Amino acid sequence: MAKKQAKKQGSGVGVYIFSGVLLAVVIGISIALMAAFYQGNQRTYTATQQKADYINTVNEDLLSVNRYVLMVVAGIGSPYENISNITLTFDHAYKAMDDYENLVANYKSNYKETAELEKRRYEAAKTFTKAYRKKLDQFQDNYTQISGEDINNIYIQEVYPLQSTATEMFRAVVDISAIGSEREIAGISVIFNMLVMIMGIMLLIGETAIFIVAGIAKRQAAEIARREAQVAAFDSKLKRSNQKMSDFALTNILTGMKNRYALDNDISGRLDSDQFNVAVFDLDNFRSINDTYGYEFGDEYLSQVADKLTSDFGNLAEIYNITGNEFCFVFNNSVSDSQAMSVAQNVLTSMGSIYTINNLGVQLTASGSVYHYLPGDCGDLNALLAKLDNVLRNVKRNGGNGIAEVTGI
Amino acid sequence: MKNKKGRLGKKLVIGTLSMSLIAMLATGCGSSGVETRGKIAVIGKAVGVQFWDDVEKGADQAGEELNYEIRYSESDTDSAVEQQIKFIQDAINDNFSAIVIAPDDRSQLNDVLKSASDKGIKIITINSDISDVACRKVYIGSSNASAGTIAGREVLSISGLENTDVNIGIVGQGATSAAALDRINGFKNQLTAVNKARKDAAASSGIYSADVNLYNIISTEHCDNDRAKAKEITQKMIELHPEINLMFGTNENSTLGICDAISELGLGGKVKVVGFNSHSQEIEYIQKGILTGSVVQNPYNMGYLGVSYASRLINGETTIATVDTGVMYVNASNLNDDAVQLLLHPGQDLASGSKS
Repeated sequence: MAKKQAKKQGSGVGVYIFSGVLLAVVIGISIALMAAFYQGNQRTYTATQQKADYINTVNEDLLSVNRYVLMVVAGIGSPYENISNITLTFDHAYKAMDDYENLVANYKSNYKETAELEKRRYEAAKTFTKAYRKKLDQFQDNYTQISGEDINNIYIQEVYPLQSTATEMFRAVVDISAIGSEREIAGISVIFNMLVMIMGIMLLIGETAIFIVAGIAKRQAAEIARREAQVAAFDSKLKRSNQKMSDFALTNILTGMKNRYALDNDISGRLDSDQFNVAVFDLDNFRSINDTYGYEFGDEYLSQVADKLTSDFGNLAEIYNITGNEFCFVFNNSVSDSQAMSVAQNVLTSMGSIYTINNLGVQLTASGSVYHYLPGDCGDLNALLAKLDNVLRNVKRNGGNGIAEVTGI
Repeated sequence: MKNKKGRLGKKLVIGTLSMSLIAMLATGCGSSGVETRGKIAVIGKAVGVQFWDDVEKGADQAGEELNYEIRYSESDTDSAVEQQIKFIQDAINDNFSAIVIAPDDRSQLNDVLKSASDKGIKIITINSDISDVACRKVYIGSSNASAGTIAGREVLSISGLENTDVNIGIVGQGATSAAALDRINGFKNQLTAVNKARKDAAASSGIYSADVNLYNIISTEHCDNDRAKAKEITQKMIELHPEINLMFGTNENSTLGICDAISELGLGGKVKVVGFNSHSQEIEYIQKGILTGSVVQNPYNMGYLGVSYASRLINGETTIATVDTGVMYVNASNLNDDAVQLLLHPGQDLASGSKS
């Protein structure tokens, strides 16, 4: 379950990275397309404009030639000057044609078909221009021998149609070029439309994704909150039960006093560093009570002893019920060695007083051993208790009802 | 509940994507499809004649270049007026923007063309005109009289005829054909003017008038546009007038018939022939030296300019009312010129050599 959740979260991060990269790529492509669109447009526009300029120059030149021819025909001005002007104007037109051809040769159109049509028309226009020039050359050679009326006829019937045809063809070249550029720009516009479309789609997908992700996130957040609440509840329950179990483990069930484990917990950390007074006490011949009155009676007896010890000495020492009828006192630091001895005497008195159990008065003497503990005396609790028990056994061996100190052994 | 929501999200995404795709395809198709700028009807005459094939070619190429849809139709003969009226009505019914027509008759098409013009359809006449010039915007063609004059002028420089009287036999395509008569008149007038100038010059310089070389029209006959008949007429004419040293044919069939006869009689080069048009067999006759020269019109340009002027009118431009497409005199010496080759094989890319 947890693994699955982690995996899910991992894939969630992946989606965000992927989205980020995708967005960058799409924006990059969009920028590139935009640049291509702009440059393509600019290039087409400039080329079309230039081509039109060149061809219009040619056509203006042809009209100028026609005007000089008319002046020759009408006998206006010097015929030689007019003829020289015709030659110069033709040269100018041919220069513009060269410029046009160079431009076309260097311009790579995306619409080959239109470019072919333009070329075909241009070649026709050029051919008629050359025929026109040839006709004019013949005309120049002969015009002095031709009568006035014939000059007019030749001009109208043979010369002018060639010029007008050439001009018409050049006009068509400009028209085709314009249509070609319209197509080209339309083609570029397709790129632009696609660009807008892609951006629109990305926007839609993005918006949709945001809605969906927001929905998922909302549900996930709710789910997480619910689980957190569950965990918190479980956690506090567990803590309580842990506390109980721990309390249980460190408490003597019968007397409610701390037990040997609690003593171990409490004192182990102090053995190396602290100086304190510790003592153990037990009732002499307690077994006889159990034997005579039974365990329940004995238990009740011990319980009453424990209660009394707690109430009489709880403020002077921490008291542990370490085995059946054995009590261990860890005196507070405020209790001196000599005080400890006198308190121990009082403990014997307290334990040895009469207790009434089930309306029956019982009294046992008690024995004890006191240890003025110095830091580092014992490695662990077992060693400590072994010393105390050893001394206690000696007291009992000597008849009990007494206290002995643990001395340097 | 959760599941349902998820599915709804998926549906939303799929829906959005497919809608976008459809929109993209729709705009893509819309912009990539080539839309023409309009429809132009081109109406020719006389099916199966190369002249009209060239008109059609010119019209088609202009349509291709200027992005118009061209519908070309032609009558079975050059006098099928009813057929042309139907073509015009079809163009009106089909919402054409312009009609380019070579009218089969000067006056019988006036009414139907007027009604087309009243509907805003631009009318352009080519090759020959109609009498109601107010309803057409432009006439594009070459003058028959001018063509005849040019033929006459070219006769003056035919080598071998410089120092002799030139006796001329003429074969026209029809005694009632306006084209034939106009061409013959132009031809005659040019030569009459030359004769007069020579006589005047002789008189002023005191030369005896019998010594002046003149151009004499010996005989004029018509062949009803029949090549075999033209051949027959020529044979008889030369038999009857052996002094004839120049034959003039006023159209394709009369010219070919003349050449057939001259070739058969073995008179190639001795009897010069000046004719009209550029049938492939006429070109062969030029190469063989039978046909001295031929006046060639420019039918391709009539079709081409017909459509390109229609385009200008459709775009609201004003144009000149008459366009002279001119004629060219083709003979052995200029047969290989680019301009002549372009005339004979219109609409084709010229050899790369033409660039120089």
